[in-house]
Amino acid sequence: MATDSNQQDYRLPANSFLATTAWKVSAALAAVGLVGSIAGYAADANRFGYSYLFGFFAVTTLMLGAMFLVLIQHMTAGHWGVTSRRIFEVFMAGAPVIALLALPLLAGSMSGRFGMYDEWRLVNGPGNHESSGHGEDDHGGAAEHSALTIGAGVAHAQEPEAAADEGHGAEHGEAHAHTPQEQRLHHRTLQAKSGWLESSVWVFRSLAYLVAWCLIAFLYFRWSTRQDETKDKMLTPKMQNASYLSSFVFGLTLTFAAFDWVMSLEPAWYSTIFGVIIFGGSAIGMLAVGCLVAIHLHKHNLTHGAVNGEHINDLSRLMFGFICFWTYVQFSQWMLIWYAGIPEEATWFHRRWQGGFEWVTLTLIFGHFVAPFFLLISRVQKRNLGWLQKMCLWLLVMHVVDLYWFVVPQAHTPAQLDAAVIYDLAALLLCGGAFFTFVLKGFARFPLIPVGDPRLSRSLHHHQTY
Amino acid sequence: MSDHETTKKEPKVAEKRPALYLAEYETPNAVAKAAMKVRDAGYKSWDCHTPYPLHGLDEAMGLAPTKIGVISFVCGLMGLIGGALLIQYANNWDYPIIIGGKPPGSFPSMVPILFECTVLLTGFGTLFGMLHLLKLPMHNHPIFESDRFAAATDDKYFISIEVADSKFDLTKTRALLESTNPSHLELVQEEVL
Repeated sequence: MATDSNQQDYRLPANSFLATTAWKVSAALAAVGLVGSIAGYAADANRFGYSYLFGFFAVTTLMLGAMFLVLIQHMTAGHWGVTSRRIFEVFMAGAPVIALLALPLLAGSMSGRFGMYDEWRLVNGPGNHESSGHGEDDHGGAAEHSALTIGAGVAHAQEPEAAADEGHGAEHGEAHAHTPQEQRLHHRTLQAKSGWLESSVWVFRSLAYLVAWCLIAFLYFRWSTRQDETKDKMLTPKMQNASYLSSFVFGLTLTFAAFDWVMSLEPAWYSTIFGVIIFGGSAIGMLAVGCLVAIHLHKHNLTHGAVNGEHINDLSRLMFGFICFWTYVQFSQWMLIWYAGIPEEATWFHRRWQGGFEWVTLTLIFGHFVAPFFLLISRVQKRNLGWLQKMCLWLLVMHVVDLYWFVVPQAHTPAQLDAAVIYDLAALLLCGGAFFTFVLKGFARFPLIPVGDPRLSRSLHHHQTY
Repeated sequence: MSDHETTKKEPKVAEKRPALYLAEYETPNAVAKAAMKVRDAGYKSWDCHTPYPLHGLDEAMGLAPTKIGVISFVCGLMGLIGGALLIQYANNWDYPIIIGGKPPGSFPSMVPILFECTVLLTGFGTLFGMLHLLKLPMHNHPIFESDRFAAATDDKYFISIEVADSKFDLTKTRALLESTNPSHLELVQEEVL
């Protein structure tokens, strides 16, 4: 087999499902998502901001999970993951699509049509306050949502007319901050954060994350595909050396992107482990997708055994490990807040235990941890590819639910599951469809395994005895 | 033997009995092929000795998957249940106490301890289960009576079939091993104590 690696090109056959149909299906789903998204935006632009953030960030975490797996494999220089690395490289190479998909989010929140970040912008002063002027096209517009998301004390101090406009706005605000002390604290936290969360700084950072991801993805994908052609062994240590700095950049950008885009939906609340939780979920989501692709390649013999049960077994064990890791950090964050029982901190979880979101929370506890833990713990279960396929699909759904749980409860105060979930799905289809269309085209264009990697032969003969 | 002979030990001429057959091979392929033959002959109490792990030898020997996973899982479950019972007994039933304003024996506060108990008992189960499955600690083994066996950590490959095996027969087992073309074959004897 080792000698074969030079003769076979390991390319996707032109008539295979992945090369012909898959990307069309994906593009069609994106088109459906686009129609739904436009409808959602027209119905309630402010609510659609949350939908879009959810869809965009769910797909972004997949790309970030892929980037993590590529970087970590270069850093550890193991041979087990060489043949499956190309799968993750192709997903990582979807970073430009992520950057494009981020533009509506940035534009929407900067123009004031998406009001989800307005709470801290209003605190920051009247400079960013003109957003309420843009609200004519949707009913109520920015004035309504600023009253919805803003703490009552802040609302009365900064924008009495907005709170007075909407009768329910004021009572929502009161539900948000219960006591005068809490309002003051709320306000102070926001003031302390206002420089960091100021609009232009925020959008500059967002662009910096996207540029960093595109750069890492571009460099690693180009080095790896160049190695396919030149068989240049020196590219391997080059990629390894670059992976140390890249992983620092990756870890910081992921953490702060999670802070800026998702955690700041509740600006008075903060958790230092937030980015780590997002990271753990990203790894699960991408490993589930990677396993699904690897199982597909294996079942249809598209890599001639180069990606086989041994490699898939490794990926599934890594995925199992990350399920435990995700649970560990999620629970740790929750337990510290539960133990302290401070209203300012508990409010974030309170939102996720009301208005129907308690069922989403329970789904995560049992569907994202308890059930997969017992259904994937044994070697026999992870070696059964049919079983693993179903579990991966399930975990991918759970990863999406996880991000839904992070984003959407912030849409209303008090939190409420609403009919706009259909637009959440539309935004997910739009972003996911666009991303997968690009990625699936990539599978058809490049060899399915890194044929130039000097460790390829060892990886082809990779064998697990345990 | 030692120079200060005691009066008690009269039968100084060591009585010996057969302990195992030791077949020596030059190449990994030879030992793997021989292992398949021994496996197919239905032996249970036998082993291969190689200087480094040989991929595929487990299958050639017909080794069943290890039971260590099941042992660890059961022990972990015992840790989980035992920890839960201990906390509920101590903190909720025998001496209910309110800590941090939480009700006695509230579930979330138990979780870190349940986690620790599970990990601890899983660790114990894995370690001691492994020692048990490997029959360790074992202070000596008759295979070390062979002078040639030292090469098992250097450049030779060995198969040993022990007398304890129900199919062991001095002539038949020797014939089987000879049919695998070992470079050397010996009957290792151990002293009767």
